[in-house]
Amino acid sequence: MSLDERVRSTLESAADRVQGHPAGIEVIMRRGLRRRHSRRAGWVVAAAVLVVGFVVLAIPLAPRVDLASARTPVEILADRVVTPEEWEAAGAAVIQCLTDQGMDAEFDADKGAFTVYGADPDTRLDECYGAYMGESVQKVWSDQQADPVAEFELYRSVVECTESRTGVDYGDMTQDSLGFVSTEAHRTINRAFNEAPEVYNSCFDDLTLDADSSMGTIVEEVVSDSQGDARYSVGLGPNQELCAQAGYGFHSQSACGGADIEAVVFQGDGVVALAGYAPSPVAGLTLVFNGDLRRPLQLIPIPGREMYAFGAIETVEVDYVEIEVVDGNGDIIQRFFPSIGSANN
Amino acid sequence: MRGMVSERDLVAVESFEGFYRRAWHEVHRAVAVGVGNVDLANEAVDEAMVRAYERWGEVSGLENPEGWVYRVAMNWARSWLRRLRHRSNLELPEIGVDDPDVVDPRVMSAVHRLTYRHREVVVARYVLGMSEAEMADALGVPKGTVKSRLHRALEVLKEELV
Repeated sequence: MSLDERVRSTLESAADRVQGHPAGIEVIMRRGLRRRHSRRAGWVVAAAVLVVGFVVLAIPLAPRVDLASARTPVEILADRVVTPEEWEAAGAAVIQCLTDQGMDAEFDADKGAFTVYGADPDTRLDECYGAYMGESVQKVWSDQQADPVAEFELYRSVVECTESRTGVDYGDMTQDSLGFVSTEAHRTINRAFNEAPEVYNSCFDDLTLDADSSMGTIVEEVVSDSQGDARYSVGLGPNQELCAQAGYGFHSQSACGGADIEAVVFQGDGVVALAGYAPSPVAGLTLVFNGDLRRPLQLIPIPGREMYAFGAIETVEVDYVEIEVVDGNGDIIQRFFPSIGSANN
Repeated sequence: MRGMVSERDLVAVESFEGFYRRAWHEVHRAVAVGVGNVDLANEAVDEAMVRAYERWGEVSGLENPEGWVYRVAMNWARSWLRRLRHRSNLELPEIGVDDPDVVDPRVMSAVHRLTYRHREVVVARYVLGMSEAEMADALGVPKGTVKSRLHRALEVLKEELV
């Protein structure tokens, strides 16, 4: 039997054994109509206000979420406590972020589930979700990552440097309404990188050298392939805080300053880089990709601290990553789920 | 409730009813195999059908409304799973892996180990019988993306199974 036939017959036999329990057409239509009519009611009210004109006071509609007041993932995750209001505000902020990109999206606050319509919904949701809700128990993000202006300034400088060395104008660098690198600016960055990758990387290294040189590096690794570099490092930041960084190409993410286990993961073009640190009572760590592919992590003692550093680069495309923490008996005492940054747009 | 519905809505209601009865189980079995859990697939397909009904004027005009429901259900399930995994150690049982009546449990295991995006296209192809063009339309990605995801998924399965 060919592979094609094996897969087809197996999946069909599994699907044939599935017994579903639909909610029923009446339930579905009632829910759908209720949502439709609540939207129509809003429009009717607005139209009435316009028609009647200036006599009737504007009926207050649900206020738009004030994005500036929504707590950032850094703040929410710092104390690991989210109030229902903050949860809904963060969900609304994700929806607003998606809407600003031309997507249509909905958030089910009870179930914590998003539904997104439009082009490449997974990537857009990952970006907006990462910006406003966070993906993991990661406590502190780097200043650069939490600060869209600093990130924009870095890329603007890198593009300027590349343009000055090549004599080519790659385009405009602009920010969106939230201060992030705009879609137009992303195109400019990509153009600079694609047309002059060595110059671009050299500019990037030069401009981030100051930050890197202040780090006492404990462990690092770079793996290069035809598509780009995957890299990770764990070292000390400017204030002697521990920092773990993982990246691919000119993207990365980092976590600094934690006292408990921390890890960052970044993937691009089928390669995953991971870096992190853990306190010394940890006896062993196992990396688990997509629930199945397992790799033990080497723990590297950090001098002067009761902590270990770890890192890995693997050729695998991941949906999620888990780190199993084991004690001296080999028993799993904790499961940790770091967020996954992605260079694939 | 009928008193509030216009005549145009009545026609739409009846055509959605036919679609719902025809498509629910077909999409549900595919989503169940794709996410690996019957109950989650139940909720995901119900939610997707509500959204289809809300937008029935638009969805009914698509070439492949079942594909649209499949995509919406898979996305909803995926984001739900993402949140669940970050909050608990709950392990969801996998369909077909320990079932003696499934043709090849090794194949089921291998499919469950695929990334979500790869599983999505494999299930769309082999359970829903979608062509690459239909998948591209349903999943909202270019045809080239469908081709490469399917190719890569089959390469991974081949490495594991052959």
